Amino acid sequence: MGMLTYVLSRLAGLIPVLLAVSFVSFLLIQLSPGDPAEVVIRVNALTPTPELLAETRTQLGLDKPFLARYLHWLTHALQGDLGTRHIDGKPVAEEMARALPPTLLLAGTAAVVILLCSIPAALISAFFEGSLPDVVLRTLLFVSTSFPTFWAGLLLLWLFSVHWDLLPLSGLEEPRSLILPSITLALPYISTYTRLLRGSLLEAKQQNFVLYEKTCGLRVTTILRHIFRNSLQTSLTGLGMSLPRLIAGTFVVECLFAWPGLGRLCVSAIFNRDLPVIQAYILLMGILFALFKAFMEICAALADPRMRDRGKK
Amino acid sequence: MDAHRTDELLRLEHVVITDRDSGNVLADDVSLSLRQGQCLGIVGESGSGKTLLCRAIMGLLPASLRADGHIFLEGTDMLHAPAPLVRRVRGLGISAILQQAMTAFDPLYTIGAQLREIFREKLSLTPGQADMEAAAALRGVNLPESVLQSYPHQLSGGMLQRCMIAVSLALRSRLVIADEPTTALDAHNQYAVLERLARMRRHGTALILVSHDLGAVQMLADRVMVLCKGICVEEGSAADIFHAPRHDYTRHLVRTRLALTRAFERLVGRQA
Repeated sequence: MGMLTYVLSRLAGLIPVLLAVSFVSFLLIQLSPGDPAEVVIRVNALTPTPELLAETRTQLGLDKPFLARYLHWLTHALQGDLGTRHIDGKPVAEEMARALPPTLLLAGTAAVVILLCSIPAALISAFFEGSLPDVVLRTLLFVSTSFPTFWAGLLLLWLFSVHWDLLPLSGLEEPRSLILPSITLALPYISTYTRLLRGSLLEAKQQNFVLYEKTCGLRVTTILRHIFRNSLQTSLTGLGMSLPRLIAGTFVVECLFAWPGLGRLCVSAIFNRDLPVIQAYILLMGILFALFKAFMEICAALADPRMRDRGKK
Repeated sequence: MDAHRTDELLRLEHVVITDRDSGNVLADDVSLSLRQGQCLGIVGESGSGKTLLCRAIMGLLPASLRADGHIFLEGTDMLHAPAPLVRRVRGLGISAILQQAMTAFDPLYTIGAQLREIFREKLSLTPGQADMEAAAALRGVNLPESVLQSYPHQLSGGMLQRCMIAVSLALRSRLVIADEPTTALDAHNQYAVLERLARMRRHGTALILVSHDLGAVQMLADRVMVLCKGICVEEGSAADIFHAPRHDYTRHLVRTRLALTRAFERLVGRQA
């Protein structure tokens, strides 16, 4: 019972957050310099005369007051209509829907790579604390954090695609195309999460219940399971928050590897000053962050009996 | 010391615990012997090395400390034997009741799940048998069966302390180390815990009771060791230590605690 009300109240709490997200993303675009009407005219290779400007403004609804425009945009956005691209008049929602799957695929693969690398690395480094493997791992991670994404990506491209010619250079044609972009995207996160997980493992190792389990003579693997469960508890939210960051952080990697995803869509929209696309992208990222945060908090609460009881007392 | 008696359970030979980094000696040349069913009280002020000595006996000293000498528990050298061998002695040979009961169990699992896990591993039981054993263990310490479904945070420190006692009872450990079992508890629970430890002794379990509560030690121990700054300053029968202390430090301890002890006795209505 307590849990259900917690989940419901957490979801209800999302509504004002999402409204605020939509408002801020709308506001940001309104505050950006340049006249949208002029942009529309220029991309269509026309000369912006005063009459044409006024006409386009009316057409775009720019002559209405700010709040009316926001409400108009919001009601349409709620129905899945995010406007049309200035550049070719195609519906923004459609373009986003086409670019989203490759980005999700890239971010999802990167997330798997992060987990596959950081969990064993953290376990080794926490349980052989101060030993040679620990020192080697931590040095490697330190070096990998210091690599800027674009440079690491270029290095990987040069090595694997150019020098050894093992993997495709760019685009998304075959499953192998996923390897380099997802590794490049995952690289800086691996060290972050290894350190996060290592820290919480070391903390959990010092817990009193671990000492008690040892005094009972439980198997090492059993005790390890308890330590791991408890350390996941603390790093779960952090791991969850990285998913929207991965999705939002595909910009550089997508441009580098010519990946047909959201990041590249948005970058080209920025160069074209295609405001509806940028606006939709900001809105989508805001929503993703809010949703993932709520989702991870609910997961953490479900996994922790202390949190489950919070509402009862 | 009567070192080679057949019913000897535990023997410490010249145990020295040193800090690896600073080289400080935390326990210096401690020797003792404990027979089956005996109760040894270890007293001394905070930082006198009581807890470290107990962790050394279980082979669980922190990695930053080094122990020399020998600790034989039923013939196994807890300091130098291979880890799997020492691990097997823990549980059935020796178990512990920790001071901070509130944090002694994993917060993410129910008490039932944790008891079952211990019983399945240490007593080689099937899941069904472990279920029954866990329920029986709790009954033995007067806890309702609903405790099995409870998470540690839903129980009091006294109840969790009793859960640990239930584990030691169910495992039939030959030696139980109780490290300050009463300090974190209120007077009512203190008495309940001491009562259960006394009953455990009557079942033939040897007990090491670590406490700076001389009242508790007087109630349970038949032998007492007094530690001061890692050195055993006096060791003997409980009667001698309490009524004819030879060492200045023991006299100081007995004198300062006497008033408290009397108050405690009055409170719990000490049995004869």
